[in-house]
Amino acid sequence: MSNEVLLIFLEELRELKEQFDTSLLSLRKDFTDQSSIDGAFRALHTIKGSGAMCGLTQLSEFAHAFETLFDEFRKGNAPVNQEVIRLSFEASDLLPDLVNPSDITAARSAAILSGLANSVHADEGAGAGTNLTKTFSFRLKGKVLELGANPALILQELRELGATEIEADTSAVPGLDDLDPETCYIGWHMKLPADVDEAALNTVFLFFDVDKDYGSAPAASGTPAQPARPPAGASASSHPKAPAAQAEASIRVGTSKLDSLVDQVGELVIAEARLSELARLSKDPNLLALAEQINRLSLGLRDTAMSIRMVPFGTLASRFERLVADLCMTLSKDVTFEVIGRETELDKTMIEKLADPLVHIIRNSMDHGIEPAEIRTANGKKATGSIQISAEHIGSEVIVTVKDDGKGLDADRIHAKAIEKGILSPDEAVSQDRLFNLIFEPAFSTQSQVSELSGRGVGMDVVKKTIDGLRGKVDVQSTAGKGTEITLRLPLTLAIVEGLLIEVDHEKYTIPVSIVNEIVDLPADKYAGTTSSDFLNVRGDFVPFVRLRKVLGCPPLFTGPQVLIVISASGEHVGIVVDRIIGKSQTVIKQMSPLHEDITQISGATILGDGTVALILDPIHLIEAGREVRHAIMSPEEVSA
Amino acid sequence: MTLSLHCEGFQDIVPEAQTLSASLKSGTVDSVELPTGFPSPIGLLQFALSIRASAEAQGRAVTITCPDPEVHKVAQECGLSGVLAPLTGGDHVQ
Repeated sequence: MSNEVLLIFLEELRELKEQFDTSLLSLRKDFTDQSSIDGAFRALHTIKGSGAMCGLTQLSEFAHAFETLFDEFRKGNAPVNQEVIRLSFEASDLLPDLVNPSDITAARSAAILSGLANSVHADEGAGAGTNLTKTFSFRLKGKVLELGANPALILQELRELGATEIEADTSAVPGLDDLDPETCYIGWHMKLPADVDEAALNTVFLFFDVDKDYGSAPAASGTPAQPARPPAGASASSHPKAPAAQAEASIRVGTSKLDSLVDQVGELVIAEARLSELARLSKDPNLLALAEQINRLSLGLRDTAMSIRMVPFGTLASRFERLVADLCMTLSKDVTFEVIGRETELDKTMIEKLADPLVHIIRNSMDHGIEPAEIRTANGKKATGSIQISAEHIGSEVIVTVKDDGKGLDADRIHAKAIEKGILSPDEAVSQDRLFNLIFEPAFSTQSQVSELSGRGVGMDVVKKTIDGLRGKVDVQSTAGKGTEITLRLPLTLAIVEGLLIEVDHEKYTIPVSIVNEIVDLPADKYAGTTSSDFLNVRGDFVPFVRLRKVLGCPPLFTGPQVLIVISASGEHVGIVVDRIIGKSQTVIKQMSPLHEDITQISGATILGDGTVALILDPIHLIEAGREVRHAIMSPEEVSA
Repeated sequence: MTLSLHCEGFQDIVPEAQTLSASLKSGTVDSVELPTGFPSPIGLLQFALSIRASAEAQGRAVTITCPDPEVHKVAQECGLSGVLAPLTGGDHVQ
């Protein structure tokens, strides 16, 4: 098997494993949920088929054996219980390891299958079926033999569904002169138990185009109904044709190809800007028309390429559902996990980098935040804890929040620890906000005892470091006895954004247009600027402003006409004073080198149409600078108001 | 006479089929030995069925053998046991 095929399979396996886990998580809440059982079964079945096609024998054999036992739950012959869920999660974890099988994976496989067999057979006989049968015939369509179809395996699966009296129909096989050797002319007839439904048969033929003929079920009045199944209309619309429709609607593309596409679109946008500039200078109407057309095309291409990179937050959140379920079992805690904003789209790079910090936060909430049930009930809380994770776009940021209803942070112990560590002096006054944010200090996570400090220490510096690396911000709010809320504020990391090009001290800078609220002329009496008057009344709203010349350290102060750009993010408005506005431009974000990571005012750079470089201002830094102006002038009560 | 086929994949079946069809029409073949190691046992069994159909169309009987046990196994699993003459000891038994 080529590496390319294996990589595609591994990606498919990851997705199917997530589907399997998601079904198990639903099943864990309701052991009788037939749709979850069916969902888990379908994922297993696809893993088995794909694994077999890739020659991963041990994986496909394990999936097959597990699926066979799991089918008993699907048919209602055995009940699902907590042990079945546990074993199924173990099987889920084992599947990726079976790509490289060993003696250890063989032992794990055997233990899981043995455990599941015990669960299945514990209630054997409870759902004894009927002896009634129906006839069934099938014939594979197309050049399936060339594709490696093996009817023997299909017949084996049908036997496992209870097929008997299997007979081959060879009447359609032509003579040698008319034979197409890659087409399968042979059909098969058989008898099946009457309780085998169409959905079960469809899963057998998941990978094949096939002519099927279902004989009518016996009309015996004693035939048991299948109450757990949805109505015929519902199942018909949801199952049989769905895989084919999905196959037509999407294709699998490697992430490296996607990154390459976006990079090239970025370069195209830069080249297009250069072309537009040259066209403008040449004043040639034909060249101008062509440049305009290419501009439109490149913008369309940019939007399409960027939308391909976006991934719903839900794809990340499903991993945490599994994490919480596992920790519930490990820690013997009962916790509900809620995800809000699954549909919120984030750049795939951001999704990948957010996974680890969120695991740290959720693990800490589970381990140290949520109290044991007896303590919760003693404190008048519900025995079941709650963790909520949400994601939403606000302005140019993505806000991800993890909130629990656990015991909250112990401010006194954090304070004592900070003094002990020398982070705070004993007589130093410190706000609660700053105190809580000390849990992200590396010193708080370097010693194991810190986990006893209400548990908010271990690994939290990793969270801060990662979020800092994404040019985001992490904030923690907590109320003793009620819970903790950790908020991650992250800039959108789209590689190409619409930028507003400005000039300060003869240098060009750009800021994302998405955060610009409005642009006003700075009143003449504010040109020179004094700290005490860095506020402007914009239609009744007092907006603090910062002078970019000052922020960027550009002497001397400029006293000519200036412009105020009001930007907003996270509900805060801040004005920035610039010398001049040049106009809008496509901004292809180029990351700064690690040497520039201490320059907080700048979040990146871009190349302009004339070939010069413009630095991209960091909106979060500007908002913070404005906040400092606000705090310097207004009382705390006024600020909070 | 017995004609031994040496096809290794589906691409070899069509030319073999043309040769075999001509031989059956001329009545020079009464026995065919299928190859071992063919990638699709069911494909080979279908080829055997096609040979038999052609022979019957000529009003002749043909014995079809295959020394590959895997093909016999698949024939049994697929309800096609009667297509091939059974393996009968000697070199063909593994």
